Amino acid sequence: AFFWLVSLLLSSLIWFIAVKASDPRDEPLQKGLLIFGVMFSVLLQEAFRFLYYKLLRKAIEGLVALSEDGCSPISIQQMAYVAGVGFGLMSGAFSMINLLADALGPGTVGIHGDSQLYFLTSAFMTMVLIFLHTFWAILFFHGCEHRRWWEIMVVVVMHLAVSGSTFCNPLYVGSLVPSYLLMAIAAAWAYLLSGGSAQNLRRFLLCKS
Amino acid sequence: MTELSAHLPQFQHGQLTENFPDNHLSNTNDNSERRRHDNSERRRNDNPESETNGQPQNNVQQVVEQDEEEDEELTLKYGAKHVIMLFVPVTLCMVVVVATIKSVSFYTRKDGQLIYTPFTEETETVGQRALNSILNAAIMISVIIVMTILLVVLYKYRCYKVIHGWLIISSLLLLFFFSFIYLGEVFKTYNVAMDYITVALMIWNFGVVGMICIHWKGPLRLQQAYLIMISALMALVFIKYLPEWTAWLILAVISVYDLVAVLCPKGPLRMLVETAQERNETLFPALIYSSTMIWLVNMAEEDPEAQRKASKNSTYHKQAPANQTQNEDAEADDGGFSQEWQQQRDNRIGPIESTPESRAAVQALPSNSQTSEDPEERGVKLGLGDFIFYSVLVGKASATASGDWNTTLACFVAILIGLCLTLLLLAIFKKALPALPISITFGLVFYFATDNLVQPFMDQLAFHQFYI
Repeated sequence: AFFWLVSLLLSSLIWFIAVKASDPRDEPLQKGLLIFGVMFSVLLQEAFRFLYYKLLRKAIEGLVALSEDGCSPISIQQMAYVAGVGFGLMSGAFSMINLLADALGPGTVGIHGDSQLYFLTSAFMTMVLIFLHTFWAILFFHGCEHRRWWEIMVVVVMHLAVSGSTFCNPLYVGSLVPSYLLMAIAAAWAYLLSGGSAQNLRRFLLCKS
Repeated sequence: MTELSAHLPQFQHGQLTENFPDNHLSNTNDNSERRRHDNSERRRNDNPESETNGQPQNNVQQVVEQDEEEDEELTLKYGAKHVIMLFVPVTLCMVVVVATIKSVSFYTRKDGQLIYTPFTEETETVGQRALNSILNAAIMISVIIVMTILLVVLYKYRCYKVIHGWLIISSLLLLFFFSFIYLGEVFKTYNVAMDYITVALMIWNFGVVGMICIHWKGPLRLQQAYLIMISALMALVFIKYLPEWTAWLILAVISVYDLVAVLCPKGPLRMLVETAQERNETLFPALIYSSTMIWLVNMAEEDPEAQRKASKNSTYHKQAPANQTQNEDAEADDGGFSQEWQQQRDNRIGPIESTPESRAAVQALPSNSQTSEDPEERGVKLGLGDFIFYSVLVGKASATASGDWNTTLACFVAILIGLCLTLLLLAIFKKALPALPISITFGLVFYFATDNLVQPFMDQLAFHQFYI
C-alpha cells in the first residue's frame, strides 16, 4: 500500500507540474495532460511493483538465512498475493472513499445531465481494479521469479489497456466490459500459475477431500 | 521504555488545559532487559549441558554465539508479532480521533487558544502569521523541555512521591474532566437528552475504574483500552486548541526534539531510561502503553517476603538475580551475585556459602524449574505521547485537509509504515529509540504532498471517471 501511495505521489507531482506549466483554460489540452498523467501513473505503478518485488526478494533471503530449516515461512507467492491486495486496496480506497463520503450527503446523481449510474459504475470499476491488482501482482512476481519478461510486459500492457478503456467513460460498456473480460483472463492465468487446475477446482466445488 | 513526562494542569480561558511535555521514546528498555535476562537464563540452561561455569572458555564462547543467533532469529520472528501488537492500538486511537473529528463539530471550532500558544494566527499578512506560529511553537517546545528536565531531575533525586502525585492529578483530570466534556459534546451532536445524575454516575464509574486500571492493577485489555482513550482525548484537545501552522510546526519540532532527547548521551529522556535501568525499575506505568503483562519470576524466589524487600515502585515481582545489569562478568569469583543480592538471600534462606562447588552442583540439576517468560509474552512498549502525536497528525489531516479522506488515509498509512521501520530499527539496535521522528516525517510529507499534489489529480480523475 505504501509503495502504491508513493507511486501515486510521484505521478501526481509530474502531472501537477505539467498542469501548472500549461494553459489552464485550454480544455482539450487539459484532458490530454490528464491522459498523459494517467499513462505515466500506470507506468510508475508498475515500476514500483517491481521495486517492491526486489525488496521482498531481499526480505525472503534474510528470512531463509535465519530460519532453522532453510526455507522461509512465507513463500514468494504469498507475498505476491499480499502485495497485490495491498496495491489494490490502496488504489480502491483512493478511488472510492471520497465518493462514498459524498454519497452519504444530500444530492441527486447526474442532475446536470451526467450519467445517473455514476456511483454504480464507479463501484464496479473499483472492484475490478482491486481484483486486477491482486492478479497482476501474482503474475508479475511469477514473471520476475522465472525471468519471463513477456509475462511482465503482458501485465503492464493489460494495466495500460484497462486504464485506457476508462477513457471512454461515460460510455460504460466500453470500459466495464473489457475490464471484466481481462479480469477473468488474469484470474484464470493467476490461478493456473499458483498451482490450481481444473481438477482442483472441481474437487473444491464438489467438496471432495 | 517509552516515556512521556507528565502533565501539569494549567488554567486558561476558564478551561483547564494540560501540558504534555514530551515525547516518547519508543521501546523497551524492558525488552532489552528481558532479552538480557533471557540470554542469561539460556546461559544458565546451557550450562548444565556444558557442565558449569568453570568450563573452558570455548564452551562459553560457543554458548554466547548461539545465544546471539537464537536471539536474532527470535527477534525477527516475533518482530512481526510486535508490529501487529502495536498497529492495533495505534489504529484504534487514530480511528477514535478521526471519527470524533468528523462527527463532533466542537473539536473543529475555534474557541481560543492554549496559554502556551499566545500568539494568534488570524493576522493580516502571511509573514506575520508565520512569525506568530514560529513563536508559538518555540514557546510550546521550551515548556516541554522544561517539564522533561524537571521530571528527570525529580526522578534522579528519587522524589517519587512528587512524580506520582503529578501523574495522579493529571490522569484524574483527563479521566474525569476531559471525558465529561467529550461526553457532553457527543450528546449535543446526536441530540441525546441526558440528565446530570446519569452523567455523574457514568463519569464517576469510568474515571474510578480508569484510575485503578492505569495506576494499580487491572485486566490488561482494560488498561490498554483506557490508555488509548486518554491518548485520544488528549489528542483531541490538541487538535482543538492548536492553530494550523503552529500545530504542524510543533509536530515537526517535537520529532526533532525526540530524536535529540533520546539519542544524545546527555538527552533528558536517555538519562531517564538509563537511571531506570540502573535502578532496575520500570518507568511509570501511567505513561507507557505496554502490549503484554510482564512477569519476571525467578526460579528461586517463591516466598512473599521478597515483596516486602522489593522497592515500592516495582509493580511486579523482581528479584535481584533477574538482572544482570551490573555484573556482566560471569568470571567474577562471587559467581556474578552482587553483594546486595547475597545479603537479601542470606536474610531469607539463611547463610549459604556460594562456592564454585555448590554452584556447580546447583547447575548440574535439571533445569525444570526454570520459569523464564514465554517468549510469546515479550511485548513491546510505546509511550503515550507517541499515540497522542500520531493521532494529532491524522486528526488535523482529517479536520483541515481539502483532500479529506484521501489525505487522512495517506497519513495513516505513512504513520504505520514509519512505526514499522522504527520497530525494525529497534530489533536491530535493541535499545530505547524515539518513535516519533520517522513516522511524523512520513506523515507530514504525505500530508502536504497529498493535500497539494494528489488531491487535484484525483479530483480530475474522478470527474472524468478515469482510473489509474
